[in-house]
Amino acid sequence: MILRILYKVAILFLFYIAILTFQFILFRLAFPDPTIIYLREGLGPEEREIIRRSFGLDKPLYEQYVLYITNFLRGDMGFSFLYKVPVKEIVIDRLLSTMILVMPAIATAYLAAWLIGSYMAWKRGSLVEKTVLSILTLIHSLPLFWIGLIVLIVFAVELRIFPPGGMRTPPYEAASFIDKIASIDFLYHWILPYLVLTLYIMSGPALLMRASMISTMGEDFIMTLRAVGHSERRVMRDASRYSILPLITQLGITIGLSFAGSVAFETVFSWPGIGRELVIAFNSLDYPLAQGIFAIMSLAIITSNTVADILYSYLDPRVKR
Amino acid sequence: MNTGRFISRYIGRAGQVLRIILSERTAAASLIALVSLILFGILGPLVYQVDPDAVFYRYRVSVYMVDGLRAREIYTLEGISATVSASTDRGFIFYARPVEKEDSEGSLYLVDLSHGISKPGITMLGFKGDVNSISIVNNTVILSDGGSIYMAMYSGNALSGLREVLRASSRVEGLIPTNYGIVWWDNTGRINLAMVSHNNSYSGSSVIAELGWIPKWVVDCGSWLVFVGPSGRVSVVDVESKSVKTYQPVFEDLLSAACIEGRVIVTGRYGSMAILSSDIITPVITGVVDDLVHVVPTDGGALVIGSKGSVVSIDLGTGALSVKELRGISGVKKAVMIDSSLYLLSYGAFVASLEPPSLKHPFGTNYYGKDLMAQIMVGIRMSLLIGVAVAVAVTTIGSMVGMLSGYFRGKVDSVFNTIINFVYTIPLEPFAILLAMFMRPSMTTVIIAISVLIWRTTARIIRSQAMAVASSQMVEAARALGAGHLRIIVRYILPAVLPLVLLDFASVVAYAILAEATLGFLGVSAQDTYTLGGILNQARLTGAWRDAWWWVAIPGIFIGSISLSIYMLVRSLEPIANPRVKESY
Repeated sequence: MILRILYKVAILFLFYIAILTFQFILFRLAFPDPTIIYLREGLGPEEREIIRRSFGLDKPLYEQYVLYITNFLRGDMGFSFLYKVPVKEIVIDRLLSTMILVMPAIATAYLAAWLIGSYMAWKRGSLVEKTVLSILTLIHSLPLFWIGLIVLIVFAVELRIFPPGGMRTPPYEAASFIDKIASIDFLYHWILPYLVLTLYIMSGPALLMRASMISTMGEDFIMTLRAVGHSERRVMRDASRYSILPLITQLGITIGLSFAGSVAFETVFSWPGIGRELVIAFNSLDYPLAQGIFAIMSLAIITSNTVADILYSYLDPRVKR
Repeated sequence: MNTGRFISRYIGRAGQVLRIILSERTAAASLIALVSLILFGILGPLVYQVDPDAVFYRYRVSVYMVDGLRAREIYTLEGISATVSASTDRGFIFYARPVEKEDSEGSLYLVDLSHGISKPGITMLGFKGDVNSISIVNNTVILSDGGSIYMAMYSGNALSGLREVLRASSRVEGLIPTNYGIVWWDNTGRINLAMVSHNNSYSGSSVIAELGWIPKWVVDCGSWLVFVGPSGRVSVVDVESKSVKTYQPVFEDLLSAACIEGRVIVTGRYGSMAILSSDIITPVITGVVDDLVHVVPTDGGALVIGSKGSVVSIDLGTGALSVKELRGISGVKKAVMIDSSLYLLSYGAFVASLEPPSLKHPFGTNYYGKDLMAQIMVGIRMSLLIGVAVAVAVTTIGSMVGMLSGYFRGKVDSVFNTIINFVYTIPLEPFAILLAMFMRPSMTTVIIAISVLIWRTTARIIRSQAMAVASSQMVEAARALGAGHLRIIVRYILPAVLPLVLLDFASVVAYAILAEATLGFLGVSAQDTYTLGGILNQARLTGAWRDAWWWVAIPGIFIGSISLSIYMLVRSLEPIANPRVKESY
């Protein structure tokens, strides 16, 4: 078992290096001479050379590559052009902002998906099931950011019940992240994106749960349970327990990808998460920030997937990959 | 070769599939919806021939009352194009003609504001020909169509007695009634005076000055007239002695002037202003950038009105200057002060910005006055193009990888599996942003970004099917007969996975359209054409999404309808293609 975990961790490490390598290649392909980004007009060749040396660009390519990888592995992701502070500081704060929105939404959504999916399979063919199924399919085939826009137009612009985005009403002062979120005002800003996100995240797994439950209900042991004389409610409870495995696999993937935030959704709600920060970095051509964000997102996703993988093998002993 | 037999067999299959689709209600409805959406995008432009890049204008004449920092619209006429105007002590007069109807007769409109803003008195009088200059003093309106000078009386609530009073010897460019008679100038800059002869009729014009340039504006200062015009030219003409004094300040084009307590304020383009007293001309720095079009005298000073809503108030005693900017107003031409309220007249061709859906623009217009239906038609085509391009790439890579790892298993499978696991850890939106940052946002960037990440799902689906076929007795038998790997894959595995590949192709198109919408919304997609996501991105960037629901709702409805109809179609075909596989995107 320990050997298996070690193997997984080694793969994790390999994936992370692969991501960093990809970034390095992309960066060097786009900018054969990266000092161009740092230079404003009017700098002579000597000053350029000094800058080149200070960034280690006078060294051979493989040394640069090794330096790049080791710096990232040490957590040194450079300085943001835009904020003039280390990228690490920004990334951690934004990642927390994303988590505080996405994690509760995922938890609620999967719980609801489990219940709703089982109920739909149980009441298959009824009017309620058909309606819920249509609504879920509809939500599933709409872009999340667009749902966010429409919800904002209705609830924030027209009805004015909710704020039109952001995490707090400016101006506000907060010494730390905890300070920032420990207020009613935060909750007031949080509730609308949370609800929209929950509804959206729920649609996929609920459909999955329904399908899984329907196939479970066709299995022999359900007939046995019925034949033994268990109540229909009891039978359904058992069936829904057996059908939960695909949902858990999906949950692992969703949690992993949640570390990337939802870029467009955060942009719509002006939520200062890691996804929106990436858009800011994109628009202001803040290359170190963008690379740092992408590296951290990937690391979080890879780690989370590995953890989910290991946990899954405990949950379902049949899995031996 | 049996290629022909292959193809004919698949055409036969396609007919079979179509029959099955049409026999099921949901599937048939989805197919019909999808086909009509595609036709809307492809054939729509043949019927609805509107250029998606064309800017639409709306002609309008409006009267505003200035209320603090706001300009309150009190009277608006839509669909008429005004050409000349003048202000009187009671309101405004302008000449306008309908835009839609060709060759229609124009009218003189007189807006009387002296009865209060609740009921502006509007008087109309039809006039044949193009009015190119107009002026009003007390109750007398004089105007010209270039060839003749006409006069009308304004009494009670009606304009009446329009008659020709003078046939000019050269083309009339502008005119003003004075105590001596009508002063008018022609297109060579010659200033003429037509005097009243008898019975209120005018005869014979005499030249009083030769300016050599065409004035833009003239102001009557009693015994002398001040003409202003291009390149900051100012000429003072004494009507009685017929003497001319010309100033040449270093200025932009001058547009307006006013006499106030023996001094003359001249104003012009880009906020230029100067004060003329005896021989000295003093430039005034206003700090505003719009064209200063009209000067309204006040007690001891003046209000200078800019075309985009600046109001510069100047005190001639102290020289003090204050500026306010009225919001949401443009095309201001004239102003008037009645009972200490300031009224503005604005007209012109205004960009038809953010017009809600109407018969002319079924999906409304965007912030830039462009037609959204035409843009959405382009957007549907581009989205489909991106969807199909992605699907071709994804199903090709995905099914190859899937077949290879499903057939060979072992080492091949585990290598591909590791790659697939790796690809699963890359989030789409951030990946596309990073790619666009280094490659530049374009359709290619979007296609690459989506394709590189999505083939993994196809590969997994195809792998499990290929695995099942590879372990079948049929393949075993073929292998026993000495068939090579290539032959087995082409002859046995490929036909078996093909229905799944085709089904997956459709799913990928839907997924790619949704993904493109998101990426386009983030500004990662094509910048030189319209995609459904790009249209939404513009709504976000201009901030108009708050007000213009049609700009947000309609593109989204199209995105949703296309992907929904594909999903429904795929779902109803799934049991036919393969009852075993239930993988969802």
